Amino acid sequence: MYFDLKTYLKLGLIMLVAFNSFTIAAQNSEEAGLEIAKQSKLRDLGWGDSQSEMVMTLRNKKGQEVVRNMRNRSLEVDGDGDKSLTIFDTPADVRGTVFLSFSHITDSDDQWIFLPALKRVKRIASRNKSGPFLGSEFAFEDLSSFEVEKNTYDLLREEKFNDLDVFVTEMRPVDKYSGYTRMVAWIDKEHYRIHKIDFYDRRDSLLKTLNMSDYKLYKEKYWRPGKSFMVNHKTGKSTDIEIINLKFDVGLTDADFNENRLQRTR
Amino acid sequence: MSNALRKPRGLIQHIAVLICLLPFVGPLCSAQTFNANVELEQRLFWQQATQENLSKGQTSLRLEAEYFRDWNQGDEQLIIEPFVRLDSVDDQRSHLDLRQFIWSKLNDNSEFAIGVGQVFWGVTESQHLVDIINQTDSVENIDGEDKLGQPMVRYSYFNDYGTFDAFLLPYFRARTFAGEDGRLNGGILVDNHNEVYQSSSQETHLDFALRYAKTVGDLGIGLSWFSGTSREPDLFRFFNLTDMSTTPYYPLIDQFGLDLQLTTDAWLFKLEAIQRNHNDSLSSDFAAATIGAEYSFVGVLGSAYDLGALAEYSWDERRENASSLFQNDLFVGARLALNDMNDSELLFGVAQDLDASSSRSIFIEAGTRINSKFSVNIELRYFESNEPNDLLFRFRNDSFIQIGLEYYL
Repeated sequence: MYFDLKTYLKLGLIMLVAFNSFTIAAQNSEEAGLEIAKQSKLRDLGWGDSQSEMVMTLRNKKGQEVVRNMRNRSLEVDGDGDKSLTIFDTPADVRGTVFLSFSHITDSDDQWIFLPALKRVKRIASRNKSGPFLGSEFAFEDLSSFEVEKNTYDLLREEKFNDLDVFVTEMRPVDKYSGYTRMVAWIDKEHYRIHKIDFYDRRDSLLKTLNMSDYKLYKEKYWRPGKSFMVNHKTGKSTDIEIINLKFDVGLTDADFNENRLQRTR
Repeated sequence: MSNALRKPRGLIQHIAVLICLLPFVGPLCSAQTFNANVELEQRLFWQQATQENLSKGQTSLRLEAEYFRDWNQGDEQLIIEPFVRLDSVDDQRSHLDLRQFIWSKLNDNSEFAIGVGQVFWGVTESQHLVDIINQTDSVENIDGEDKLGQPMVRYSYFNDYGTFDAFLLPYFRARTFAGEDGRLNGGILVDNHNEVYQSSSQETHLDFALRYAKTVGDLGIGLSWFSGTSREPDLFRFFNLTDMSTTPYYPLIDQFGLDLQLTTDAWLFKLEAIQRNHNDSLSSDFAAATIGAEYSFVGVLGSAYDLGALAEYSWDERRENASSLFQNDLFVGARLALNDMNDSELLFGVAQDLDASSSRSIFIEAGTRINSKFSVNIELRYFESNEPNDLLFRFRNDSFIQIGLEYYL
């Protein structure tokens, strides 16, 4: 039987994953938590580039809604966080606004915004990571790419969640500007997909819960949620994010994420 | 697919979509969009005007539209952006402009554009020293943020060393000023139809500009050079004291610009500096700079609000002879974003003249969305000066509040 190099690598990866699942029980809970985070990241490596449409629905306590339509383009960066570009289509008064972000593993993110009314590109301070993304219940840091080094980990327990075997892991952000003391995540054992996260604020009381569902498999390897639902327990406000027409390998390169070319981005 | 994204399609659109699915034709198919918005504005000047018989109210309508089309997966783009302002009292403020009418083509490492375009350079907020490609549309507002479309040929080249831009600017747009019936004319009647140019080719003098921009980690650097007709007119050379009127004079200049921004977690540090040289014995060469810092507070007092606090100092070598309001001035401002569903925002700023303690200007701008089609914008500008030699003195009775209702088509 003939195997090419890629197949060998894949086999190696599968063995590594299998081996690691066996050893998780044998480690202490912190090592096990870290191992789960590494596994999630490992399974997500090599996705390349993608584009999608995003429908974000903001809902207040009274049930009033605002719908934001945006388009997202993302590029995986070897050895660093992802590059991502968000173009706003509605509401009409923010139409044409472009948000560019280079996320980094431990450094703070680089962010630029293009303001169509002024035809001006502004670099903005990344201190805002704990602040809300456009009035939604998602903070900037909730939407930034997942990197193992951003948190410390602790495997709390293993249980059933929606009929799936899951790890329940605690993550404590390293960055002092994070809005959270800790997050508790429900991650399924089969595909390492996150199904639920509880966010605890700086006073360590439950602030928000994120539920992710409608996972779909792309490129036979990468699982992505179709729906994310974030509810804020303190304010009663919530935000839905629906991802539509997600496509991989659309030919995006570094040049599409150049801060000096944002005026051209549509 | 979500209902929010689904737009009703007519037969023609269906056919167009089907044609685009054919091989060979697909890649050439283009996307096009049309958007427009209109704003009805009411200004109220609460003081009696310095000149007689000037109105305390001013009603106006602004119309903006944008047609966008692209080909070859966005590599070729066409933008057409007309602009109309209709004013109830000042016929000089009623104007038509093409903000943009530009075609551009992207290649692997470069972009070529030709037409009427808009280009912004710089980093500071209180004034824009380095920004020079487009003429200021000063009848729109006195904050210098609105710009007239500029005819240009632009070539940009980008690689790992940064972005290089070269401009040929074949036609000059003169600045327009409020007329005799308009407030905010500064008590000077500027002839908007006759300009005097240093260049014998007048408005058809070919101007050049170059810019280099690069981001190095936390630092953004911009270097620029402009050679051509000054965007800023000399209003004093042909000033007529008997009827307080003038004909603007536009000298030829060479201007070198530098802009820097250092971005850290919570702090922004900004610098803009220019050196403007003339080859005209009556105009003196000068340097000017703005330096500033901005600090962001996130989640102010346990709320979802973001607050950006800003301080900028501006200096001009010509001091009291400076043609700008910012010759030795301190600007302090704040931007409050409520992060609510309606994107409500409040901007506040005070500019204090350090050479004239009684001279200051204050502005407040606030905006919020009423629903998906309407937003409301409020603007207040307050001018104070007891120094007849200060430029701001001319506007001392022209403080106003403006309410605008904006509709998106």
